[in-house]
Amino acid sequence: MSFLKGLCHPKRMKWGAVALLGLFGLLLLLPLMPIQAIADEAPAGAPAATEGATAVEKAKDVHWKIEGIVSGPPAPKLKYPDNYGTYGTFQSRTLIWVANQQHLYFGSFVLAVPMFVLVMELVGMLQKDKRMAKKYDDLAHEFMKISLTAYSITAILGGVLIFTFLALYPGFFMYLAGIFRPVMHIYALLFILESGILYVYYYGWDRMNESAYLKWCHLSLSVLLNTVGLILMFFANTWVAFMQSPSGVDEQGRFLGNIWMAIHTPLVIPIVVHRILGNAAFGGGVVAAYAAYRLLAAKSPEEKAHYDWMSYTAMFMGVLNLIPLPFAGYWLMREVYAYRQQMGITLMGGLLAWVFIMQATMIATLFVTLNYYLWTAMGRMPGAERYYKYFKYMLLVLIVSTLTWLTPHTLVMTPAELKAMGGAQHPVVGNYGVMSAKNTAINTIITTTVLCFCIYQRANKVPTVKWARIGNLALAAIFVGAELNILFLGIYGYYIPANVRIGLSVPQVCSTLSTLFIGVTLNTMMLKNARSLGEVRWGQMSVRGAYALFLLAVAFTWTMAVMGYIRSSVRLHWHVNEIMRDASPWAFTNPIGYAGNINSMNVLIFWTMLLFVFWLGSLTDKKVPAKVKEAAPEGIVGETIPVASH
Amino acid sequence: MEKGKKKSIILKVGVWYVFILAVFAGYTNWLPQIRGDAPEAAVAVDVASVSVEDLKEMGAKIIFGTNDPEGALARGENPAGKGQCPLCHQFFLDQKADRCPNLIALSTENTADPEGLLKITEEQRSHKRPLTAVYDKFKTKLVSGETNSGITPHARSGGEYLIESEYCPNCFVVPGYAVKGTDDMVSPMPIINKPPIELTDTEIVAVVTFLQTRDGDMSKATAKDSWESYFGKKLGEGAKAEQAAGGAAPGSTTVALDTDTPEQIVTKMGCFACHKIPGIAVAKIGMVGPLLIEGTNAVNRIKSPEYKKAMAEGKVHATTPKDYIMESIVNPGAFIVPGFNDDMLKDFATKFTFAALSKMADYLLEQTAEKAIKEGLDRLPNEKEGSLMKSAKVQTNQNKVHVVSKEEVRDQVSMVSKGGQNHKEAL
Amino acid sequence: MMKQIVFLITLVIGFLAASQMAFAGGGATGFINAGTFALVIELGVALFVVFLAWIVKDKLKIGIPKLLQGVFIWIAAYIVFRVILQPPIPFTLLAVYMGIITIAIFLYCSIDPDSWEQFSEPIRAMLQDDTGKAKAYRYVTFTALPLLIGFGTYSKMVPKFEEPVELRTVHPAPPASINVHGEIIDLQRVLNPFRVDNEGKYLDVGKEVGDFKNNPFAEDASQYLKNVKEGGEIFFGTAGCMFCHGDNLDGKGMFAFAFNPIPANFADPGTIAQLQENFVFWRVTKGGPGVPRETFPWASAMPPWEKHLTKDEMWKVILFEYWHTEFFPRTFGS
Repeated sequence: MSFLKGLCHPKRMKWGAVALLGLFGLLLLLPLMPIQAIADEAPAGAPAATEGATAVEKAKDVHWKIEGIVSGPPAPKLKYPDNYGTYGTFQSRTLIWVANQQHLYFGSFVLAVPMFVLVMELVGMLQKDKRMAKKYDDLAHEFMKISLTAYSITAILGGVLIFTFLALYPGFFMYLAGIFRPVMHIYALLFILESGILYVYYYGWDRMNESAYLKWCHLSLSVLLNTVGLILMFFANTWVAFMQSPSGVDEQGRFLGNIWMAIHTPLVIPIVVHRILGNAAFGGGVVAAYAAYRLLAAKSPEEKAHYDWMSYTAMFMGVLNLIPLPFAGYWLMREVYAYRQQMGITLMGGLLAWVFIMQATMIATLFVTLNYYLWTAMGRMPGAERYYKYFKYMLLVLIVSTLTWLTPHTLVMTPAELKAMGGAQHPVVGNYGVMSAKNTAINTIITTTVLCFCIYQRANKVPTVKWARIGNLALAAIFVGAELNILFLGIYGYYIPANVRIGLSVPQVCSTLSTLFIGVTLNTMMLKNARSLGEVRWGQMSVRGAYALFLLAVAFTWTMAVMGYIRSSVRLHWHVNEIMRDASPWAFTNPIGYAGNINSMNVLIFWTMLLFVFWLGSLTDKKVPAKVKEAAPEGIVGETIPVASH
Repeated sequence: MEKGKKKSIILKVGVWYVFILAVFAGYTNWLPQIRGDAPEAAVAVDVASVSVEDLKEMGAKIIFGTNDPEGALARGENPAGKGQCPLCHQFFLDQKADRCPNLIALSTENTADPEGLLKITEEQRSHKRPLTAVYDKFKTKLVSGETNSGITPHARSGGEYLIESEYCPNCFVVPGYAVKGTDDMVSPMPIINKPPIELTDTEIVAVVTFLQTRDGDMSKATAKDSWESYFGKKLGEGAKAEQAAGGAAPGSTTVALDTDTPEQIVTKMGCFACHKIPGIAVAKIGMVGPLLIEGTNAVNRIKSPEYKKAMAEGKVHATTPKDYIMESIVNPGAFIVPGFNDDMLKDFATKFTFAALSKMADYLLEQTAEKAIKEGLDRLPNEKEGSLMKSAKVQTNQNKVHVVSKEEVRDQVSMVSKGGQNHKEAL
Repeated sequence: MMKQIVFLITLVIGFLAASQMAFAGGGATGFINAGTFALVIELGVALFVVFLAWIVKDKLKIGIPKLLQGVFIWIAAYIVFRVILQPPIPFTLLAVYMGIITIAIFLYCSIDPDSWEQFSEPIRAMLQDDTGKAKAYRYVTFTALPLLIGFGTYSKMVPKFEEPVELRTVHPAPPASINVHGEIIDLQRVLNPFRVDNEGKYLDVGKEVGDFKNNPFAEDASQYLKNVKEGGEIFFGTAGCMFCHGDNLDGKGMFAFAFNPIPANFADPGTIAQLQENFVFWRVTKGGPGVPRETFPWASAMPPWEKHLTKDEMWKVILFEYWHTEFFPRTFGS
């Protein structure tokens, strides 16, 4: 106890934070324990069975080629309409699609928000400045409030999803449930645990704010909440990964008794990583849009300032997760190719290539919008005028990269255009359709974004450290060097074999990440005790910036939809890839236009429901103002004390 | 005032959202639209749960490859599915196939029936067949089992008879439709559950169902029960084996490879159905095409005035005996040996690898008149060069050579010329 | 401000030019001349634009309003993509490019508060001001707008005889396995059996680079090169691939232009260089008739070579194609 209390001492707080994060990491290993236990059980049960009867049948794992004892029925050969339910002639698949997507949106949102809240609460606690500490703490609390209503909607949508599965795809769902039975139960129990923690965490917020010790306990609750949330997400992801790249079953789909093998499918790890990052980015986007809306609708300057700051912080957190996303996606894609070349080609060059073009468009939209937001956001920073003249060059680099990024490898054209071009590949533009060009383009885009952020950081500041000149030079060297390296490797990539070329993406990514880590760190260090050219005029962001945030949020949402669509439809006519066939009339893959329409509809439904959530949130605000007004005079003049949080 | 402001902001943001979403959706709709259809499922049907109608439809698909054979006929195609039945059997009045018994039997109300082809359906016929004296003859002759299929004729009902005919065509041959010279004992039909047709048990049941319910009376379908009573086991046992390897490309045809021996090539390509070839054990009975002693023939052929004429017309191009042989295989219509008709199948150009073609030509070049005489093979009567036996005046066993009448040759010729892809039928 | 525009345009053109230079040097022998030619033209145009801008800005002292700048950039970009970029790019790509440029121009004009002011001021003035000039602009705009829309509608509705836009999926997904000459080949795992070193062991992709410039006819040629030579004999002899795919493997054989689509250009980095060897094997064995449905319309004239070549011959031809073009088949990991 005294040790814990000791941790609360401001001087040891950093150690406390480290310890907490370590605990967090350990907790992440939790789900492996029951699974490992089950896995251990399976071989133990085997000899007994052999003694009893000769009926033990062994079979080989469809992917890992490890022998296991057959302990489940083969995947049923589904028949339509016997194993499927329908609502008239409506595409069952579209119904399940919408149900899944909505549940996923809300699920991602409620799992992403606690991540931010954890970070923000921690940041608030580590702040020396009391004023800032309160600001962060209130922000975290407000985030949580938004996610609370969303949480119950998630649960309801989860129920809807299960009913939709049972009603429309009973045959498939039974098979999946047959294999993942134990995990599904753990999942359900964890959900209860998650709810319990969530309510204690949210409703105990003010009470646990009273002492430093209690505050640490509160933060630990947040850690627990996140851990359980991540485990939940992990489980849900394993089912999806199993459908895409099954293992733990034999070629007929018979479960081989080892649940860990069914979870540990060839694609599960990259899928999980990709999804966690995506979730966090998406959550940031949603909260940013919420804040942007409140900013536009705000009446008082204080309120405006608060929501401006909130939107910026949320956006920043989302972007922090957005930047590694393309790399995670790249990793996933590599694993997909290694798993099945056929699947990779269907994605990148075949049936779904145009969906990927759409996806690329979304990524470009995200990054360009992000940069645009940062540019316009600098309008509220005194002293940022110094940098205005560089924006257009950054825009130029971004646009040239985007042009390269969006040049398709397969061109759509009339036969006459084909003849005029002299081949399916354009001699000039064709060079931008290949991997080398794409890698170069996306790395350049990200590097530019990082540069933009560095400029944003110092917009209203002048470094005063002695080594400012050298620091500036070093910073310039890092960015120029990284970009030159990216370009050089990109061009060099045309001259070497593909397997070596794939290796090149690693130094390219390293260049980009070094600008991110070294560049931003260096920049931050230089700005220590920097001379300020004036406080940030929170609340004075241009309307264009707010609308850019909306675009960012919609783009996040839409990207998630289109990515999910790609991941799901790459299975083509399989429920479980190569094991369980989709025998329904909707086994075909829809054209991209249809997918686009459904995605847009899904996004619209999601935001409409969110609007309801936000409206609920604003209802509780109305009682507060009187209380806040009493507290307000103590705050620093003109800004920073957030109005209306609890 | 405040309220109004808030509302207008919601409206503006809403419009902005819808605008963005419309742009995204619009862009996807502008992109090229491809629908990825699921491949047709490998046929793994649980017969017990399939209705007779479905079975009949499946049977039609196997026979014709389409659900609308009449439409295909009207377009001038000869629809043939996996089973390839319409190549020999006639199913419609305006379809041409008379190598094997007709299976028209649509409905007696049809007026355009000058030959009375529609008077009796195959289903009605099938019930009578096992009761005939001819069937008894087969029964006694094949009492120890038919050589190729191992089946002894034992059909007791119409359904069983139809099933039996698919698994063992030789168990009963309709008089007049046997291979000529076999005393009505050998059927030209291949065994349907073995390569190259290789229908599964289920598919055969479907085909029989189609035949039994041709007139639309579904109650006549006994195929499944007949199958089970005929074989004395449940249909669907060993169904696992039925499941074809998923990824195998459809329609991978037999191709003559350079690793094949000449004998294997002759067997694969079915040359023996029409030609006699010295040194090839199976090729002793063909009576449609010339005796292939190209060591003797080819040199003479390219020198012949007929060939020179064709050369002048630009139809043929061979200048060496080997070229002549290869040309004759890949482009049989270019030059017809005098005395013969243009009856050879035209698709060998896509069935030989280059090396296999060269090898086959080399082999045929080695075959000479002397070798043929040694093996007792002789030219057909309609070859201009005349009998080898007579010219060589060698005492041979004349009985071995089956001298055929012109009519018989014409029958064989017409059979093979329509033979499509299935060479075994020409046997 | 004009300086920046000039800089912008120069950069765009410079980027294109540099990429073409990279391309021309990239061993794609077929296009060296075309590429160099385009490069010269583009550099010339770039210099001319710089000169023009210098005249306008420094000699004539004309400042250009933001709105006009946007229009200029748009037109310049259109000229670059439509006229200067040769051979002409398909309309669909042009539309994508111009769409991006349009968005970029909007971003450019609203990038900071000043330029947004500059950009939006004339529009606002045109819509709101009461001066005669503004009114005149207003009348012109609101007369022209419906006319433009009307013209657009008209030209969309008027019957035209246009070729349909065709989609070509150049890389259809292969099946998991194929049946060649009665043998099931697992396309996921199969390796070229003739990509071997002198000991007969599999030669990892990339290691053959040393043999790219060596003579396959030499006495001491490596086993790999001997296989390449046999592949070449099939390419130019037995199978006659060069009639369509060309003597230089550039897809310009004597029959090439009788086909639509024209035969694949192996010398292009976008064809075999992008593909795994077993993918190419699948395409060679099954040809045009073997492409999956998703790729239609795809009237490929490629014959299914399994009907004419043995498996070994097809593998050797593929080996030769990579050797001749000096590309490496795509691989994933080791």
